[in-house]
Amino acid sequence: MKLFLTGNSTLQPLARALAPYEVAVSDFNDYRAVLAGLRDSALTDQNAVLFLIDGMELAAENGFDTAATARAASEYSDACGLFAAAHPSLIVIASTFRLPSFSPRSFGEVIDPLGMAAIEGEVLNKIATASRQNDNLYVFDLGRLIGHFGERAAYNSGMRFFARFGFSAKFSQALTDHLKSLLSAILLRSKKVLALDFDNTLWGGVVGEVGAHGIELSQEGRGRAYRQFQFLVHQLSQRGIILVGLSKNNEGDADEVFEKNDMMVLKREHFSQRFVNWKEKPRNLESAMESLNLGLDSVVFIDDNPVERKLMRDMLPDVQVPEFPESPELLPDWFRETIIPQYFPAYRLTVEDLQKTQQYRANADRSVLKEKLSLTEFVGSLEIDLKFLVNKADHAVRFSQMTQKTNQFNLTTRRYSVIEITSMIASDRYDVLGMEYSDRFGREGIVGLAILDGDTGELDTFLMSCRVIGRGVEDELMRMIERLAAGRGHSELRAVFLPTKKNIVSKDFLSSQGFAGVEDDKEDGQRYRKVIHVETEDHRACNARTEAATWPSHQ
Amino acid sequence: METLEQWDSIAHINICLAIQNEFNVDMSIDEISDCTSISALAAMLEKKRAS
Repeated sequence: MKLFLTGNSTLQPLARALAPYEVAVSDFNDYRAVLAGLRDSALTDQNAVLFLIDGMELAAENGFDTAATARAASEYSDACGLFAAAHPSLIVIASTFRLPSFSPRSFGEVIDPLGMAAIEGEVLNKIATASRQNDNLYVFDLGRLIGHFGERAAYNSGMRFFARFGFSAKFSQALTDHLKSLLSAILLRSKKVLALDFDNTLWGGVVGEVGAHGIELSQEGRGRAYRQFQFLVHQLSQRGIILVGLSKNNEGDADEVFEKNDMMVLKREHFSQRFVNWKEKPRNLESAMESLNLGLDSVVFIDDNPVERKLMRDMLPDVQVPEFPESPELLPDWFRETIIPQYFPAYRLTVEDLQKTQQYRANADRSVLKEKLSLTEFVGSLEIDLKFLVNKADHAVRFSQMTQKTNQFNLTTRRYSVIEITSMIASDRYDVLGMEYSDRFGREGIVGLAILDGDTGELDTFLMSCRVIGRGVEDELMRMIERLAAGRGHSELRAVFLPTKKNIVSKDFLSSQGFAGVEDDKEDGQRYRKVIHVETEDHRACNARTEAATWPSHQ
Repeated sequence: METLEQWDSIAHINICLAIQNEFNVDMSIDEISDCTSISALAAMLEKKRAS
C-alpha cells in the first residue's frame, strides 16, 4: 500500500514511523497544489493521499488573524470533498486540525462566529459531510487527537521553529499509531471476535467464592469501572463484534450472575457462545471458533490472569492476547483508547455489521433445529428466501467488504475496493451479483457474491459467507450466474479455483456443481468449464441489468 | 555527524526527535541547532540531567 503525504508543515519525520506503508512526501507546504489537482502526475501509482494540517501553522501563516484563518480553513475543507470526487480511485484521508487554544482575541474568541473554535467546528462538519457522500474520503480527526493528548504535550516549539515540524516526539508516535489504525479500519482489518474471561475481567472477585451478589460490579468505585467496561463491550457487540465467554467456573455460579445480578450490562444473549467449565481455555476457544466458522486469527482474548494469557499465546499463537491493565479503574480507558483502535478499528459500518450478533444467535437457534431433523428436512424447514441483486451500486460497500473479508468459501480470493466494485458495476463488461438471504429465523443480509466477466464468460469471483453454507443456497447463486452468462450468449461458463491457506473448504465446489477440470499449463490454480443451457425466458429476465430478482427456493 | 555523507536536514530532525523521545526531554531551538556532533549531544544531555 502506497501513501502520499502532504500538508502545511514538514512531514518527513512521520514517514518512517508509518512503515510498512510505503510513504512518499510532497514538497513542503504543497497541499493546496495537490488539492487543486496540479500534482496528479505524482499520484498515479499511489493508493492513498493524506492531507495533514497543522492548525498552529495554519493560524501562524495567516498572521493569527481569525478571518484569514477561517478563509484558508474553508478553502481546505471545500477542496477535500471536490478532490475526493475527482479522484475516485484514490483513498483520500483529510485531517481536521487544532487551532491554538489561546489567541489575541482572548476569551471572546469562543463566541466569535469566525473564532478558532467555530472554524474547527466548520471544518469538521464540511469534511465529515463530504466523507458521507464520497466512499473514498475518510476523515482523520487530528484535532480531536490533539485534544486527547493535550495541546501543550502535542506541540513542540523547538522543532517547530527549527524545522517547521511542530509535533512533539511523543505525539508524533501517537499520531502515526492512530493513523495506522485508521488505515486498518479503511482496509477492513478489524478482528471479528472478542473472547472474554469473567472473574476479575467482567467483574471484580471470584464468583465461586463471593457469590453472585458479592462480586464487584456496581455504581461505585471499582465496581463502577467494571460496569463501564461492560458498557463498552456491549457497544462493541452492537457494532457486530462477536462475544465469546471463557470462564473457569461452575456453570451454575456464572449463570447466577447473569440471571440475578442486575448490575450486569452484558446478558447471556449478547454472547454467541459461553464456555463455563474447567477445561483449558484454548480448547474451548477452538471449538467456539469451529462452530462460528471463523479462523483463530480473528480473535482477541482478554483475561486478567497472566497464566491464562500465556497458555493461550503458547497453544494458539494466532489469537491476539493483549496485556491486561494493572488496576481495574484503568479498564474502561484502556479498552477504548488501546484495544478498540488496535484490534477493532472501523470506519463505515454496513447493515450486516450491525446485525451480526443477532445473526449468529439465529444460527445457534438453527443448529438446535438441525440436530432434530435430517439435512434435507432441515433445509426445507428453514423457509429460505433469496433475493438476487444484479449490478446494484448501492451495495458496493458491502460487496467490497465481502471480497476483503471472505477467506474460506472463496474460489479466487480476489480483493476489491469499493471503487473497483463500483466501476465493475458501471461497466458493461461485468455482472456483479449479490445474494440476500433470509429465513424464518431472521435476515442474514447479503451473504453471497459472484462476479461474471461477461466478455470471457469467466467467473471472476464466487464467494459465500460461511454462515449460510450447507443450505443449498450456493447452488442457487451458481444457477443465477449461469443464467447471466447464458443471457450474454455464452454456452460455456469458465471458472478457476485459486488455492490459498484458507479456502480448502471450497476446493471441490466446482466439480460438485458439474464443472469439468481443464488441463492447463498455468500453475496458479485449477481451471474448470461447464456447458450451460438456459431457456429463453430467463435470458430476458436476467438481461434487465438493474432489476432485482426474487428467487424463493426449497419450498 | 555533519561530516557523514548521509547527513542531511531530515537526519538532523530525526535524531533530535529520537533523543527527545528516548530521554524524555524537550530541546530548545538552540540546542537543536547545536546538535551536530555526538559530543555536543552528550554535553547537552549531561547538562539537562544536571539541572
